[in-house]
Amino acid sequence: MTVPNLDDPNQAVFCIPFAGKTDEEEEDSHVPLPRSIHRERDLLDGEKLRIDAYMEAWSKCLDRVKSLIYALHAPIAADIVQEVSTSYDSVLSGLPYPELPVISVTNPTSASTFLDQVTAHTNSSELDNEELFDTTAFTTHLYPTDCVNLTSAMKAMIGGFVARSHILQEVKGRPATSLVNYDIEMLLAWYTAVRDTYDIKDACKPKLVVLLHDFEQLDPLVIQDVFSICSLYVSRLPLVFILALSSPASPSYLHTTYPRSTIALLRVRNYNVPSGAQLLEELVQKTFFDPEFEPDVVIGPSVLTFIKDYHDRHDSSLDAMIKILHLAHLKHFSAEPLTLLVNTTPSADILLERSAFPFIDALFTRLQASGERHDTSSNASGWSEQTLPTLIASVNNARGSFRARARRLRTGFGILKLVQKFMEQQGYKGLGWNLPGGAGILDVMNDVLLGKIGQDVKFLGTMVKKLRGAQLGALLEILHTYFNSLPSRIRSSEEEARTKLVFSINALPHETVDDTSGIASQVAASFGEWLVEYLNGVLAPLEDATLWDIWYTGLSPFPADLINPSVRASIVAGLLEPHKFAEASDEEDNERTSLALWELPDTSILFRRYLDSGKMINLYDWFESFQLELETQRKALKQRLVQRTSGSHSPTKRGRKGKAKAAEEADEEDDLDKWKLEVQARFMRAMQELDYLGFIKHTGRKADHVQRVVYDIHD
Amino acid sequence: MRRFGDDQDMSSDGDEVIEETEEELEEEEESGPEDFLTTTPSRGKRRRAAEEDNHNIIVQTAFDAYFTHATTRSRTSASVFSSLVPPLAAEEYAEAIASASKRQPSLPPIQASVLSESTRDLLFSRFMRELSEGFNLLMYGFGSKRRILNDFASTYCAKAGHVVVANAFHPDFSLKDLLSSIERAVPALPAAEGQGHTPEAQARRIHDFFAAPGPKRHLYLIIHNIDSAPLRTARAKSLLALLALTPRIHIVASIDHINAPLLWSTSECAARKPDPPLSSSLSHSHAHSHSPSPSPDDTHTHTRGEPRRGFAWLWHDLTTLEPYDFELAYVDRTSISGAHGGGPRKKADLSALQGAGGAAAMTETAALHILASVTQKAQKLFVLIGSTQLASIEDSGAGAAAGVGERERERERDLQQFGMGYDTLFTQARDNFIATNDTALRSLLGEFRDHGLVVSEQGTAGVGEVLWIPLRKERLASVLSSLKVDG
Repeated sequence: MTVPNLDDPNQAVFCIPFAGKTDEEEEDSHVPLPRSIHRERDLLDGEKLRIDAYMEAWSKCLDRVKSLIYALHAPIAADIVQEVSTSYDSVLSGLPYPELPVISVTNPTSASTFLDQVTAHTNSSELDNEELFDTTAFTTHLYPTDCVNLTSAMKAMIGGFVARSHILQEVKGRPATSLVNYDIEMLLAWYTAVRDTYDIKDACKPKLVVLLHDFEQLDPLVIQDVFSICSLYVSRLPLVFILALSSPASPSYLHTTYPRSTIALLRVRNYNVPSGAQLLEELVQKTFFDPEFEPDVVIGPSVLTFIKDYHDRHDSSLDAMIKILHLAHLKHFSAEPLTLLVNTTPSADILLERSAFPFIDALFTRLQASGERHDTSSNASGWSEQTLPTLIASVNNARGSFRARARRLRTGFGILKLVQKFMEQQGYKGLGWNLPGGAGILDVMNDVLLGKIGQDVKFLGTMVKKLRGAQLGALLEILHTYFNSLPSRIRSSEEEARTKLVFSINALPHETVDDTSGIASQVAASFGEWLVEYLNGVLAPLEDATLWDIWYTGLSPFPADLINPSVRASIVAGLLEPHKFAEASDEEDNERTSLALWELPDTSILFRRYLDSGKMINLYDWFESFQLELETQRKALKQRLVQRTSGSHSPTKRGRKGKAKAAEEADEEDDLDKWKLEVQARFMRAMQELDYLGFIKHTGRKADHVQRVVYDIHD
Repeated sequence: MRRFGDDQDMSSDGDEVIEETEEELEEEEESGPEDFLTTTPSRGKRRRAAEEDNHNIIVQTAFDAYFTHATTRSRTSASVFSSLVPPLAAEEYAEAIASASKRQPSLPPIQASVLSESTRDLLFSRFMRELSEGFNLLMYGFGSKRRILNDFASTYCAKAGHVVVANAFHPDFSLKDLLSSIERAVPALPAAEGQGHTPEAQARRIHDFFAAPGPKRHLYLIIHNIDSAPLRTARAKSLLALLALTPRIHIVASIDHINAPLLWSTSECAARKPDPPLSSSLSHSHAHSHSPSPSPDDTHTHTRGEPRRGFAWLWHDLTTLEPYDFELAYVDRTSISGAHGGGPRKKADLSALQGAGGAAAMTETAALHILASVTQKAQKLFVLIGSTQLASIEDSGAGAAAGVGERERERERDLQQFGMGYDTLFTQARDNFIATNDTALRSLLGEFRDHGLVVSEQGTAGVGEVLWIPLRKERLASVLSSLKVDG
């Protein structure tokens, strides 16, 4: 196969044959990161080193987030699985007809991840094995697009079970004698066959779980019929329906939309999956502010703010949050060459290579700028074998000290939270985080990262100073437990704080002793002072660390355009000011900020006239104004040409001027017709381009008029 | 609220504007808001209107502008474009555009910065990384993105796996084409063993193949204009959503319509591909439940798990400023609404286009060539159909003088309504001794039909087959007159 001609207008789809190395059919993951914009100071294989660092950092973060989500979902998923497996165990006797078990799951935000979790339990994946009959259910999925009418819905549902060729071998029957594929008898026959083949006892017959995705989008009329058909077979087919709802549990969509006649057939159980702002806060907190977990890259306040805004305004799903974190990581590692140092420092051999000089130079400059400023005269050439190990060591040191700093920050945040929580428990307002109008915990995290928490810390300190003896004792106890529960690594580094705590606890007079001596208040005062000092020390901004931007995204903005673009504004800008998108190579163009209308491309001219017009546009008027502008363009261009030619070689021109003029006039006559056609063609082209972009509405209300759809203002 | 700073700015760059502004400010207060909405003003007046726009606080945002325009009657001239300007024939159009591009002196073309060599490489390597991170890419911005994406496909994607490029703007494009091409492009795909050839079954097979574990080449789908009509349907979207979240399938698509982002819901955009089993996650205690860790032989159950649906878009501004000539090549350049993307596809138009066996519509010259090579009888038959059609077009035009423009548009869109019933034609042909029986008439028509000069369709109830000539009124008239001269 050769590369097809992609410009062939008669073909709609092309296949480009594989052009890589033919023998390797391996997995990718060799796609390098894009080149850094600071290419000049990147290592030769910096992209590869950075991608390794990125992979490690991101998978660590993702694993953490996912295990947190999993842990949050696990109890409910387990409940649902339990519900499925026992759905036919305690059937109420004496009902006029058996009810169809239905489980409605309300999980507005995390549909896919949660349902995966449920199906992972219910779906019997190792059905070929003999031990399969511990498994509880077969699962099939129904999507709104499968269920446009009853036939297709039933077909999709039955097909979902029956088409698993690995369970039962497919038997080809004559069409005339076999059941149609949307007949529920077909499912019954299949189910009986499965039970016969695998010799399943009545007691543990596997359930048939039907998962209805995006339940609100399914046609109620169709689903009503599906329910009533299935309810006729309940006694023979253990069907269980799981409805994935995205509307709130009350008022329930099921009850508001479906008639009582349908609801009466169902036995509905409701489950709620945690979601919303609280979930987000908890996830962020436990991923980036938990002393027990150490992310490779600390996410900065700008990304956190974006996550919060995006969650509040656009999309509150967990997928969106993960996507934002993913992109933040990707961006962090794509931009800065130094990020390859996140986890490891390359060996001296690599750094000694000639191509690594700019990298080392940059690194050295950074280290020097932040460290003491001695020996500023030395540069990359000054680096030789004996200083390279020093450089590596100082990078390793910087990494270690940054990590320690981040750990302390997290610990400090934990204390801050504990003290605040304690105050709230005691009935004080404290910093008022959870009050209406108060800062959410995400805002507090931002403040901590930005180093703007000093005021709050001071305030908390003052409150602590005023605590009564018993209260202080309780607080100290809480803090003591907190320190003891920290991972040993942190605990050992916070030895000083723990000593202070123990000292304060011991200094407190026993509760039984009446507190007249004022010792308690003295202790409180000294502890409060210490606490302020300690927290301020611990919560120092990460930016103060050496080489901080390797491990911390800081204030670098999140590329919001990647997930929330302004498509319309971009197109309008492209039409109005095409030169802004042009290559900035021409100095001349840059100086002239505003161009005359005639200097723009056709479509832009037409669009400008479009913006000048009223609601309806008469095509002829439009055409005329366009024509005018093109005339201007022609004249101006001619003038420009004349100016240029007369400027450069006027003496030669002068001789032939008369002749040239005569020829020109003759040309013009002939040209005029051509020019007219050309203008019309250009108009049609520009107009159709605008139409293609969706700027024109054909109402057909007036002869050859079109309607405007965009009312943006050009200033 | 008037911004006086602006006044000065404006007057400083105009020449005699300074005197005018004073008067205008007064004028503006007296006159109603309609006054500055007159279109096609003289040059002086237009500048004034522009001036006023700048001063008037009402026209400050798009919302205000909308309400201002919506509440006022827009006054436009009564000239009708299609009656004043004769439509361009396809050749005329092509010639005019060619001469326009060759015209000297001309404006220097604007080269968008994304098209320059250096940024392009950076951009492409970024795209590749993002694709392999499990995102799909969506390109927006003004200008045709076809060339740059094709470039991306052939220089980068082709080295990484199979590539299928779809021109979704093509009038013949359908999702089925795309799916069948994928099946052709990927030789390793299991053949359809009689298990359904519907697009759903195809998409399912493709999904199953690429989602199954085991090393295999990736598939890159380049879809130009994923916002085109055939891909807007719910059915197409759900199939694409299935493919888009399949591991090892990567989609790079472009959109041009300003409202195209409305096609997808936020959750569809935010959906994520199932994460590849990370090396570290396998050791994780929970790992098996997120991504059922596959053993080599349970491919079925693995894919039978729940395939996710969504798009996982990452948006990129790819403003190229290139003309849309290729995309619009299939459009009737004489038609005002020809390039309008939305709505149902106009079948009559399309069949007229395809009748000629290619992308181009029937032209006058083509018609004359065909007519020159047929028999006298056939020519007579053509004249008969043509003049009947002309007469009926004129009738309808005269019948509703008020709505001429609308009629014209209608006609432009759908010549079928002026067609002639087969029975009527047969009667007339017999009366004129052109064909004495059905077989003879059919054989005469066959020649025209093969060349797309006569198009037929089953008419609405009771009419039976309807025949018409896919030529606009003016063209048809001139063809007929030249035939009469020859004859």
